[in-house]
Amino acid sequence: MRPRQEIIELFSTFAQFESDHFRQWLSDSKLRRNIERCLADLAEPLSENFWALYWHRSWQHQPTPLARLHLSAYLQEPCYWAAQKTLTRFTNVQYRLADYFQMAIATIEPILEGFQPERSSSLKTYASMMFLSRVKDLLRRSKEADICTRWSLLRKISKKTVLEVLHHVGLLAPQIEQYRLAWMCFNAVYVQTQPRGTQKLADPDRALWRDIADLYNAQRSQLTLPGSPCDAATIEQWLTSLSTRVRQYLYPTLASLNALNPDGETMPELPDHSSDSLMAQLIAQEEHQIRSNQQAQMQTVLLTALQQLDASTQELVKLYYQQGLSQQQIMQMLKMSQPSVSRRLAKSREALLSALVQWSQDSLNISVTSNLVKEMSAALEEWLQIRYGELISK
Amino acid sequence: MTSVFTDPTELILEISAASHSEAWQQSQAHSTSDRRWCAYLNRICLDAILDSTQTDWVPEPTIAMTALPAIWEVVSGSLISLGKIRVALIPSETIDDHELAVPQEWVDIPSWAADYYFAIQVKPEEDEVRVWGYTTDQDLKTFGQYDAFDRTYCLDASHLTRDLAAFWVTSQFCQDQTRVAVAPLPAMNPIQAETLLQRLSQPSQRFPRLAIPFSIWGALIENEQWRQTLYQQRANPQRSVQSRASVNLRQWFEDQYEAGWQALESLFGTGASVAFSTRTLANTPEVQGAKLIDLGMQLDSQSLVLLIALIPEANQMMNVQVQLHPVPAERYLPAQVKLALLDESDDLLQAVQARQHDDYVQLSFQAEVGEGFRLQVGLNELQITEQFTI
Repeated sequence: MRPRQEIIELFSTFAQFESDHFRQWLSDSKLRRNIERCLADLAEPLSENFWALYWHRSWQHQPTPLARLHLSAYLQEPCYWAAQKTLTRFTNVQYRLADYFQMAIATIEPILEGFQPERSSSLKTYASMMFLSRVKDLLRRSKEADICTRWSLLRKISKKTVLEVLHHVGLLAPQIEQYRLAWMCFNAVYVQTQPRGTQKLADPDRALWRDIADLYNAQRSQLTLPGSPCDAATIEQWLTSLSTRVRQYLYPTLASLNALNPDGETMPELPDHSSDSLMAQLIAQEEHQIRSNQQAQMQTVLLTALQQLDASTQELVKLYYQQGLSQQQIMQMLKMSQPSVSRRLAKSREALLSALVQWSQDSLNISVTSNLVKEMSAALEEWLQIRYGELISK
Repeated sequence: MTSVFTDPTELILEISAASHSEAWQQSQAHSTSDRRWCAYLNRICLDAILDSTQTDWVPEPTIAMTALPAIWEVVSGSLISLGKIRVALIPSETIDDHELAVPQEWVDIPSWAADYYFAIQVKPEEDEVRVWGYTTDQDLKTFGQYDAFDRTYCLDASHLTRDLAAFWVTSQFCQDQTRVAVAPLPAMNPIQAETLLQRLSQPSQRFPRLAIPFSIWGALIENEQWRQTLYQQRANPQRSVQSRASVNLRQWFEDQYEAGWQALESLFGTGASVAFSTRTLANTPEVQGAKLIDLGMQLDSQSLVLLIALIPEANQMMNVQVQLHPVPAERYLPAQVKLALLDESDDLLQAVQARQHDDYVQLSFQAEVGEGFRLQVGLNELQITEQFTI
């Protein structure tokens, strides 16, 4: 894959795959025209980072499809990077590079929402990390869902997912409440009776459905609209359809690759308040400069802290974060037990984070709160996953 | 055990085979299988966290709650202390890491509230306990949403800190941070508690924590003794529920009623009580008391009225008339319902059983002042016993 350099290309082209390999960058004419227009107004060229932040701010204030598409185009490389990392780490014959790419780019909205410019070094590094972690979460969830029957899946799903699914289907609030109560009663009645789940729980039989329905009917006075009593068949039907939808919801949907290609869509022209937001952005650029300096200091702190760890732990950190080996691979290479690998990685992260927090307290004169530690933890993660790795290539 | 998805930011703990079986054995004494499973998951989770061979935590964690099985009978979760820091463990089996749902008890009961809340996934089949995130009590209250349906505070995963290392560093650097004080719950008097305990001990009460307003519920279970009583009555029902205290009937002459008993007028208003007394009792009694008996699901949540009339006689004797009525809205007693009189050694003295269309059933007897007796109201296998002293 050829990495892009030019601003116009970065914000108006999309990756095209052919039989699982990157083929070329496809240009979108509307996006291209918009970018060219923005650039034409300026006297001096501005960095890609500037534009990333500009479009992000634009998207935050007015989430137009145009802003989002510019950002989507921009984040193709981080997405590709995440897809590749996933491919090497998780050997899964079911999915290929293009699939992982698709899974990742589908999560772009929450990633854009979660991005906070004051806290990250750049949108690209933040997105790289988030794409990777979201695809991993997706894979983990679907793998755990794979080994569940539809009924054990209902037991192991969060309330949030259930409510999202019910909303998504288009049910109204009183009905959603009824389904919720039915699900709650299901979970109270359909229960494991052996420790460790050694005996797979049999599917609910008629007697069980009756018990669930009885419990539902006894409890339904607490609903805003109690409705009439439900029979076992209705409860079974409700929960059967709920379990089907829940499973669909958990699995990554692989829409066609062309879905993101916006050509053919009619998009409104972006209203021109580019001048004021550009000004605001230039100011932000200065703040960004300060942050860059801080990032450089942080790097020094972390590299120093790393050297304080013993040699084998340092090796471990390098293998995991720089070379991207899995814990299993490391275990085999260094002849260590898995819990040992896990523990050492955890301990080294604690040490690094501690160093970072100490530095914030001393040099930046900030008092330590749980929020500060949280921010430093995010910064550490970014550094370990992205910047530390880049150190080899430099 | 550690899968390819394991992140060094999470804390993964192993469940040994011994831990499984011990936890299972300790979790058997509960009312239903879902409470047993809940206790089992909580026990595994707690044991794993406290296992010092796996977690070399400093200071060492200790359990910060008493009567844990009593808690797990009604709500999930536990509390540990790490020095001054209190951490609530919130285990569940959910696989999707979408949110942390904390039962209200761990936030709004003053002595149960914590500084941190751990989101924990328990995987019994894979012998694994996975701590995948945490939050502070401040973040939970600021960003969490209260769900009145199941009385939980729910925090979206985007607000959770996924990095356990951050917890350790925070606990080291922020020793002195004080928790926001939780308002105390309104005090509860023992009589009210007694009534509630009897009601909530019924097997028909599958979700006792949702059955009464939270401020009352919280006050009830915050008290260790009441919590234990509720647990014992639910877990060892022997299909019968017994009031702990003996009702002192002589006090009724001084208009003092206790343990759910009331003057008849207070229970049904003057209109209804007039209908009762003229319809039912032959002589004009000196004093009457009534109580609602809830046989729960046995009767489609219908209640019955147990009515006692006391007529003092010569020589320190009391004439006692007992009647069992349906509530004024109903015409007949449920068929087969039994009213029995027992002495203090539980020997049966009299019993009467309702037939298909009985308005009420009745027993009468004479007792000496100072004597005790028991009345039992039963249907199918469920019995409620009340103890009295003249």
